[in-house]
Amino acid sequence: MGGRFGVAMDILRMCIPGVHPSTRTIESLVQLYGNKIYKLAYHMTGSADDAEDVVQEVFLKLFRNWAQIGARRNLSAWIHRVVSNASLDLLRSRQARRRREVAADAGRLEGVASGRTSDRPDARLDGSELNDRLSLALESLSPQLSVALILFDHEGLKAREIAEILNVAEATVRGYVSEARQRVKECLTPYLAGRTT
Amino acid sequence: MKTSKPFCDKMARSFHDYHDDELSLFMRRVVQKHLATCGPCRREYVLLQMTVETLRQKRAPDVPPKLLKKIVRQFTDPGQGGAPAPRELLGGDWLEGLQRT
Repeated sequence: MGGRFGVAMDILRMCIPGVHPSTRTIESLVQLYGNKIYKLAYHMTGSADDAEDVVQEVFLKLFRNWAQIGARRNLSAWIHRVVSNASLDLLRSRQARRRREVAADAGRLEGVASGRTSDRPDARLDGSELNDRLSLALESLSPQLSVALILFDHEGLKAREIAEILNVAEATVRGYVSEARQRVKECLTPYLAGRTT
Repeated sequence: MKTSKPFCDKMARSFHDYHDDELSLFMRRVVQKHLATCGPCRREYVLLQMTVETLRQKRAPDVPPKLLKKIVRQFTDPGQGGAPAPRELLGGDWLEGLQRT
């Protein structure tokens, strides 16, 4: 599994499966993983509020299911799975909400389809046009494509690992990644084309 | 994809696997050779590389410190709905004990 969540393995090895984590372990895990989980959730959902919800959900599940998770000793895989599933749920509900809003307001449909508006409140957080465009491109993807792309290209997970997380075939993951990249590339081309030689 | 020739379209479908080093040696050489001679495909492949690089470098804000403090409080304060405080369960900080041994 990708190395981004591998830092606290020493702490995990010291944990006793079946026993609640100590105060110090809780503090260490929150300190070590909190920012990484938040950033991953932010990349997947594109929203600071949603990312906060995901962080809380991940730690809630981690500490409430400590016995099983501590015994498995594969926290990295577990975190990627829980963050992905929580983000997928949020993206799907957002998509469903958007469909309802679009049905109620046909004028808004045009704006969403052309990428001029965004449900992602923090899409322009860093002021970079390319980053903004990338956020909009990711938003235009289906939740499955978006999560697969972030896990593959940003997190560096292998297609096999993503297949386990998304519960689909490895070939399906590769298809998701190719399609998602292609669509993101089309969105970014006007911004990237000037940089090619 | 803005390529027009059928062979270019076929090659373009292999660009993702080529980029991820998932092609057989034979196919890898075929794609390499094509990229060396076809300008439009080379441009498409460079755009793909830049897209992946942009994704890799995608930035996100840092987690609000208040959120982390809130989570720690939630799970270490007894009676707050989180896990029972471990000191009460174990009669001391067992992690410290483990670290000393």
